[in-house]
Amino acid sequence: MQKEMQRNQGLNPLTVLYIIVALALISVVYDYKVSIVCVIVMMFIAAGFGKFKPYVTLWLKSILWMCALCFVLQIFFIPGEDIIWQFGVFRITREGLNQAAKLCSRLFGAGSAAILGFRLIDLGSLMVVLEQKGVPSTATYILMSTANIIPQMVKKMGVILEAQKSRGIEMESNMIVRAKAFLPSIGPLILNAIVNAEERAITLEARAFSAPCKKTSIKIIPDMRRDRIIRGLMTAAAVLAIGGRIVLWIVLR
Amino acid sequence: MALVEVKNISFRYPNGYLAVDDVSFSIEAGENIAIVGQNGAGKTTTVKMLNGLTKPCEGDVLIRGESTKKYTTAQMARKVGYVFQNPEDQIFNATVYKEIEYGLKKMKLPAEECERRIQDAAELAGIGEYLDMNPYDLPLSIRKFVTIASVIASDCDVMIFDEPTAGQDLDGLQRLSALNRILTGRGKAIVTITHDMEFVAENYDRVIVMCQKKVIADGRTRDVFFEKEIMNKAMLKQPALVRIADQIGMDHNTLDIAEVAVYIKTGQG
Amino acid sequence: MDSIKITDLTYKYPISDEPVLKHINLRVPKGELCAVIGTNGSGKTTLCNAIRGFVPTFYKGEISGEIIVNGRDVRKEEMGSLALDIGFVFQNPFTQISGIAKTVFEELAYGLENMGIEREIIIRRVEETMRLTKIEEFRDRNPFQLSGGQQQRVALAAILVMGQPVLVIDEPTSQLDPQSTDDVFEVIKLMKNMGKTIVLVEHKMEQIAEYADHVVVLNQGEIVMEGTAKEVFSNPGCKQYHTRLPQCTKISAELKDMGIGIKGTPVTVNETVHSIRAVMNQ
Repeated sequence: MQKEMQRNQGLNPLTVLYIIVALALISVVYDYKVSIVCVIVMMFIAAGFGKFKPYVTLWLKSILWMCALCFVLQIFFIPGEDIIWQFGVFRITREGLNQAAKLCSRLFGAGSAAILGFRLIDLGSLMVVLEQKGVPSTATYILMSTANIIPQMVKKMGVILEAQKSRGIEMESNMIVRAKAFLPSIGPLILNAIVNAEERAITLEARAFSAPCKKTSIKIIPDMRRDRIIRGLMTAAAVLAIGGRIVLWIVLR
Repeated sequence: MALVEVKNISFRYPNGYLAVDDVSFSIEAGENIAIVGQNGAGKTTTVKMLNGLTKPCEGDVLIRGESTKKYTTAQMARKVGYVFQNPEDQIFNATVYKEIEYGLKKMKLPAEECERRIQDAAELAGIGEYLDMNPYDLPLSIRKFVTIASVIASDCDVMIFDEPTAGQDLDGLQRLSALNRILTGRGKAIVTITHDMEFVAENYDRVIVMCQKKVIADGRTRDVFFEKEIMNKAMLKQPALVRIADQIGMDHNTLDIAEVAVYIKTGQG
Repeated sequence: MDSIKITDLTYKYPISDEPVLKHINLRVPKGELCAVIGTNGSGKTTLCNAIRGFVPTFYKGEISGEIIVNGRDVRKEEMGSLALDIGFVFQNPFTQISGIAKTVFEELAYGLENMGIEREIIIRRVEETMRLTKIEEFRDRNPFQLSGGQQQRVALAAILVMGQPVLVIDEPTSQLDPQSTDDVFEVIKLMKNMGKTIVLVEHKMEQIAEYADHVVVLNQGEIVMEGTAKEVFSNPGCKQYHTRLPQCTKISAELKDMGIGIKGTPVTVNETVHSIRAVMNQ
């Protein structure tokens, strides 16, 4: 318990969510230079939470790769007039480059923010806060249990594949053979999920999920003055960013 | 040459966890064998190496002299059938009939042969009356017999049943014991994992006891179940008859109630 | 006082023609363990669901008759509010993990959080229940990472901690090995000693003979036999309803057929040995 209390001495998860959403919004509405600044800020935030290394590792493996791939595909496939580089059928146009930079910058900002959230926010605590703010417990349960049950489904998939191999369904060969095995593998998984969903609904009822009382929580999630200040600042920043963007857009017209 | 030869197999997961440690045994055609032991003793991993689902890290499994390493599990399915613990992991067809037929389709059998096998398997498994029903409308205990029928229909030499006794009532157990007898009579080798020691005592001539990833006993059921130390070590209960015989002073092994009766009457036996 | 009182209960599932429960009358006095046995498909699980109010609310279908649990009319209560009176545990260990808790501790706390219990009291009650059910060693483990037997003990503890006076437990050991079965029965014994009223569906007759105050045999939706374990197991009717007998009862019956004059109906090894010794000493 003691340890849990200490861990919760940091920012309220809702505050962290505000920061992340604000950063994502700002990088989406402005161009790539702003996105890069936002992502650097995210790195600092991760470092501030002592999660720099896990964040950057995940970031390198996912977002950076995705953006690079997306960028390359875009610059070659978006048609345009103003050719800046050509080799055989491959050509890069200024329009393509601009378009690719714009799209990837959004992906870069929003994606980096999403995985920062994944690394920094304890889903369980966030759900408790959301419930306290009036989000229905059914909604928070669905979010929470999906996150927890997906790894179990992956495990189940492994067992089903073994079961189907054992009855002679070939899965250790080329793509066509594997494609044929799709129904026998996915069928039991879905049927399993349906049966499990029904039983789990009973489990929840047994644990007084729909009991007519106000729920409590053993998690103490402090919401301090500084949380409220930061949330206010973040809301202001997001509104200003969007407002500024609209003004810029009108002025530039 | 034995039908199945398990030679010093070990299996270690990539994360370093040892699941089976140097296990050896052999199985003849027509044998009916029970594998018993606590959960986590290595029973399921061992039988998974019989049909090549898991390839041993050390040692080898030979089926009619051929190593399982050379084949994919799907190819092995013709020789070694495997009924999984949860029927839900296998069943996906809309009717019981189609479910049994599914495995046979892969074998490209003539239509009459296919039909004959389905009827035969359904009858043995006692599910003849449910052939047109959706497997998911049947209770779990019957659904287990649907997966057993699928394996019977494929007519393999070795059949592995993983915990078929779980959740079965008296009728289910009797059906299981009858189909074991008929299949072994046809020369099939049956390997059954179960936690029901009374069922083992009544239906299996040979038992393999696993404990902490190793085989700690392998022999005639009446001999093995008589060894109190082995049973205690494996955290298993001796069948009631063995405990009774022991407590009334019989000093030799028995699983035969008639022998116990003779001892009670004469004071010796 | 009767904790459970069922009068003329008949229930039919939406898709079936035949009722799955027919004119059930059952009384379970406070603090008693009532075991329900019978073949698969005889209606045992449906009876459990009816006592907890899951039929017809959850599964629909037609119901008639009256079910009173702890003085409340189950059919008139909201499904949610019954959770405060009746605990429910079933067969599958995996689906009884709520999916919302990261640790066994949180799993046990979850029901109490839903009941709106104060934080300090939850923590105290969870600690105490973990100690009583001997699952303290799993405290910080992810419930999904436990073995089936361990999960089932956690499921029982997660209900026990909620403190309902009536518990319905449906085949808790059918997927477990012998050692885990014993562990689960240790918890059931604890529940009984705490004075809970328990309805237990089980196939393991040795344990029923040991723990049940009252045994009910269901056959095709009807109660066909009722009484103490000894009364039921010594009744020749058991054969007719394909009921499993405790191994010792079976052995003694066979010995009797072989001309050995065993008295009574032994249900445990000790009783059997005792009666055999009596014969041998004559």
